[in-house]
Amino acid sequence: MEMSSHEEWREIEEVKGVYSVSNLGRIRNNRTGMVLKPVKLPKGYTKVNLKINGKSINKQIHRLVAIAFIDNPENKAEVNHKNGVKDDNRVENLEWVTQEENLRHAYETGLVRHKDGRYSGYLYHLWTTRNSRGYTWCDEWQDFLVFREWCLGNGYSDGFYVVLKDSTKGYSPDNCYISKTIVHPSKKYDCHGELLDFKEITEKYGLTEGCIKYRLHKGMSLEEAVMTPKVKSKENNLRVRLSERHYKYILEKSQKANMTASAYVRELIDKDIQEQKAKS
Amino acid sequence: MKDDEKGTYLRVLVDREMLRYLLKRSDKNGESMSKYVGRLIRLDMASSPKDFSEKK
Repeated sequence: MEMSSHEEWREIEEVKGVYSVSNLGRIRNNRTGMVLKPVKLPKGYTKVNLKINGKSINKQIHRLVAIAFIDNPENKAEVNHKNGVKDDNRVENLEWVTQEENLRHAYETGLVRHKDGRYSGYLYHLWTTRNSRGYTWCDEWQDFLVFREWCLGNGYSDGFYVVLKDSTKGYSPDNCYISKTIVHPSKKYDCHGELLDFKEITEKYGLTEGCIKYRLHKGMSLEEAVMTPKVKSKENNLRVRLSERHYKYILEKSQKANMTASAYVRELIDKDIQEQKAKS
Repeated sequence: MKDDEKGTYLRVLVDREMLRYLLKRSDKNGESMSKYVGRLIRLDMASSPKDFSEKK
């Protein structure tokens, strides 16, 4: 944990005059000047034991720091550790969140571990599909926890992406950065031996921006994303009520034309659409 | 076809573009899909041999 040189102390309101909390997450007894030793809780958070009027109370440090240093105008209930390290109680690593935001952050950043050992979220998905994406991964990042720590330490949060600086090289701390967008409009990408910007790629391969971004988000490499054929849009079932007479007519006509009743009606609609277009 | 008259349902497979057109059209004219398809069939019947033409 990096300690900045400037440490600011503020009194803890609940025990005014007795203890102070610093922006680096340390707690001090104002009378003795001693810094209290934090106790690590089983879930990874840290607490301190404060003694007031002979009674002792346990307080979680991250909450004390947030109360003293961070405004909470929306009165949010929980404090989130942005980088996922639960004993990193520096003020810049903390934020007030709702319970929903806290859970979403935990899932998205791969901090939640399932019973079968898997983690959740985009980072874990990216990491588990690393061998099928056509890029090399450095030895260091073969360990998910190391990869996750790097991402969180470099500003990764929900909705961000791990993007390659140079798409001809693989995933490593030197060649990656965290970005809000998965592609940069002005950057040139190496796509099947050609250096093209994102707009040129969409035009050349006849795909929409959204389609390519979605495929990249799903873990495809750029080359794979542009070469995957377009998925034909799904057909929809339109349910129409016909009189017996019309129904019989359709059945008979479609049999004569050697097509399904559905196809025959579709042809009628199509013909009407063409006529309307011609009129307008 | 009148609303209280019994009818037979037919499933018509349409692509997304056609469905969008039909929905837009039905919103604009206030004509249901069934009525619209019924009208198209009547027009088709009128241009077919006599045994199919609509009885008046």
